[in-house]
Amino acid sequence: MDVRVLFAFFFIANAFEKTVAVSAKVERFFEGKRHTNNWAVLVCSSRYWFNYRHVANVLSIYRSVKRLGIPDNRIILMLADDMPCNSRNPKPGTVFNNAHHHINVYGDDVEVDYRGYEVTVQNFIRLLTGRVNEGTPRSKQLLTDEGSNILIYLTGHGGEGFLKFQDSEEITSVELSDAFEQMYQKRRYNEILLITETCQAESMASKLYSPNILGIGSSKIGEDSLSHHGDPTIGVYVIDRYTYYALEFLEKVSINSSKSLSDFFSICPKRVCISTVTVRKDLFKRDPKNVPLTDFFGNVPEVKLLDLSSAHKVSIRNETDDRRDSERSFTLYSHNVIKHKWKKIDPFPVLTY
Amino acid sequence: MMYEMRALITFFAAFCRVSLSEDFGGSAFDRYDERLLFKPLPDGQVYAHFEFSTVFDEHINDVFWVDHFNLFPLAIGKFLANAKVQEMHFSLAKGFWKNSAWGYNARDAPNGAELTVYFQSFQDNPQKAWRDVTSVLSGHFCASLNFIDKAATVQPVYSFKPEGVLQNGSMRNDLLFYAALPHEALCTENLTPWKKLLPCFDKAGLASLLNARHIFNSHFVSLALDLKPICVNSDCYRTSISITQTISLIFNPPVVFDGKKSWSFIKFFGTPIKEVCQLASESTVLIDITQNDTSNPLTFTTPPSGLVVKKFGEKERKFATFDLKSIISEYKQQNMSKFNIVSLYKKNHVYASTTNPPPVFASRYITGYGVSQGGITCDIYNKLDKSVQIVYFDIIPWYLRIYVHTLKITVANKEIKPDTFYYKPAKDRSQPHHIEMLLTLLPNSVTTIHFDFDRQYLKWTEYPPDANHGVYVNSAVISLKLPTAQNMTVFSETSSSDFFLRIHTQSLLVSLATPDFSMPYNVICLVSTVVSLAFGPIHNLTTRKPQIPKSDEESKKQSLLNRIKNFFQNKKSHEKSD
Repeated sequence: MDVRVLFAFFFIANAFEKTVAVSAKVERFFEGKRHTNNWAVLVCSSRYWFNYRHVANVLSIYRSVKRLGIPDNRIILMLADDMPCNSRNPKPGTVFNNAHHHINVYGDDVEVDYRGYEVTVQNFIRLLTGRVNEGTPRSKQLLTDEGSNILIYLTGHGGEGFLKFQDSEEITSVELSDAFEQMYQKRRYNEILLITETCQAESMASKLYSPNILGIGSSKIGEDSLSHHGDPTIGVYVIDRYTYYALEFLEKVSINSSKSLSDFFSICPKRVCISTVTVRKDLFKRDPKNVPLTDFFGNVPEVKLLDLSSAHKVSIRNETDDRRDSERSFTLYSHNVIKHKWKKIDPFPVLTY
Repeated sequence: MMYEMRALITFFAAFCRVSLSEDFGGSAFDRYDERLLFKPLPDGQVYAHFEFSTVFDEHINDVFWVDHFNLFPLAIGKFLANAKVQEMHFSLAKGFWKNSAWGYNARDAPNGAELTVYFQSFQDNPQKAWRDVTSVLSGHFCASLNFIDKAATVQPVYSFKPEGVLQNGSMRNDLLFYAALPHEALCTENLTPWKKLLPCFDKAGLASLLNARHIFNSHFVSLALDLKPICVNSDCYRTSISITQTISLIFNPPVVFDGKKSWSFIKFFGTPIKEVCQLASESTVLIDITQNDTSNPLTFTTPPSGLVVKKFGEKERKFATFDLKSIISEYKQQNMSKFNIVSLYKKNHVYASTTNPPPVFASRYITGYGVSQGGITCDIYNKLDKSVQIVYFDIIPWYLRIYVHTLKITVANKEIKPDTFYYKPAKDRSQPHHIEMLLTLLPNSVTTIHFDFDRQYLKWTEYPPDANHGVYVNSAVISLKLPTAQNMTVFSETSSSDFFLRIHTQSLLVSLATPDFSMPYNVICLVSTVVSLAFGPIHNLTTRKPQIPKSDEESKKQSLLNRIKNFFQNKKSHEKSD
């Protein structure tokens, strides 16, 4: 009898759990997607070989967001130094996440948008606020809109209220929060997830005041953020603790995963991280328990329905095309009238005295 | 997006084994060829040179972005049309090509990035177009080409003449631009977009050998993209556009295992060829066996498709060829899926004591010591019995102030004059020093070019973040016409008697005088310490009233009783005050 009661109890409990899960799913479905596209800004601000781990950090996140579907043209990757092809790297073209060379986080298909000396505070602020220099290629611009969810990941050497860039300049938390406010006023984002993997990382999010931003820091103010382990074959530390566990967690996440943001908060408890992971939730409107992780780490496939039934036809030609065509016919015409002979010239200069 | 599309199409083509070039409705004259050349070098290393060439049958002036780009890369086509580029040569390299040991590279490239652009004659604003080109390329190839500003750009006078055909054969100097960034890194992020320009991407054909992890494990790697108009027919009233993508690699096959310098595709590239690019008209592997030593010959596990003897002027070169298209289709019939070229030597490798140096090569270095003055010396060797005329081209950044009066060209301690000399002095922050000269190298001689410079102070914000590393100076470029094809690497046969050649010297690393960047911090610390140390005594002196203390004798005189009395009296007075 006892067994039967127990069984019945389990059955009921199980069914109850299922209904809860289903209702959550239904709720999530009717809630509607609040964002229409996903972007990622991944920054490693450290130069020099001994900061290998910061490049490994940022590439770990790059690998994950790319795997979860954010295309390269929506990932802005900033690497302050060339680690994969550094002459000190015994295995050129690779950056590994641990000393056993499990995952080559650099990969075979990588696009770095800002590299070397280009990684500066100015360029980072310009990128965020969209105030880029004239002629900046599209791959170096953050072309977000009010429907964009942006994942911003910063790693480097930090202190209370600042993050060092290239070992020569700093961005302060005040500057960062002002940049976010500009983005908000210009409607450049829907929601932002800011992750900082530095010492005293909590301080980078502490001055934020714009809505819909969630800040995660790998360490509290007053705490150091520590590296995970070293690799004797390269002679330096490979990766930082927080990102090591973040990658371990993200490797198990798929695009259809139901993992929520709150699951992501607990990936690195103090026991393994040694530093305390902090989360700033007060600016974020949604409950992180109901926010799928893929809202930031994954990508919304863009589907646009066009009404082609009526006479309303979508034309892919525009005025510039017509102008170009007329230009073209002109050149063709002129080209036909005056026939030019094309010749090779001597590549070596011929002197005429 | 278009990359994915193209990759998809390529995949489709590869699986269906249908040549899509006709179905696409594009011109039947478009053509794509791929070739790979191996050349064992005298010092035991192996030179591998990939060449992917596409010909787009469209007149250079008539390319528009709405055109249908068939095999030609769309991204380049659009950019060509928008910026009205007629000719472009772009290269990225890692390492220094040792001319003296390896002979001449088929496509020479200096360490870092190098870009030459010639615009079409109806480009109204070439200066702006040049800026656009650098920014577009920087975005496309993930390189920091946007650092090419006015202070890095020159308009060559004698060097870098267009290599393609020109309208009426006339060239305008204001349309020609050149810049180089010797500091630019080369890694997978540059290789990936470069591979995406190929019709079969890296999914099939020779490009499938280009695995980043193996390629960057070589002694030298350079990748280049050359775009130029070529004649359609002998009349040449119309042009088509040729785009050639090349990769040059120097591998060092290990002798540690069996003492032999044997190599294979798998050893070099980590993979055999599984699939042939169906869009390619020709897909060949050539192995140069001219220098094959009869006592220790190079043999192949797979017999080559043929032996070809090519004539370059008077010189003949022998090649073993492997026609991938026929080989792979045969393999498929025999249910073998992978093609690997394995080359074997019968005997152990003996390091040659003498190498065969090329006719002309150069070496360039910094002279002097300290961080205030210095000099640049370039030794140019001529091993021929004839005199050779060369063009020497050098760009020096503005912060190294060179003195033209110190320029000395000497041969065997005798000073000579250049045939012609062009010099455009630098302007601070907006123009580099630009030196070009025509020189005649005497037979069997070493010509030394030397000039001195002063190192300029920069503003402290102008220094790079790793200022103590120093700054790089572009490699000098030497253009010449050789009377012999000795040590040259060329594909197509020629009957001409002179061979145009361009070689690059070493790029230089110059340390500049760097300020003490932590000085402001030190000043703040020091000043704060001094102020705080001074503040205490000054405050005390100015706010307290000096009083003469009671003499010791008086205090000693007090009896114990008096002291106790005093103690209680004091306490009482305290209580009162509360």
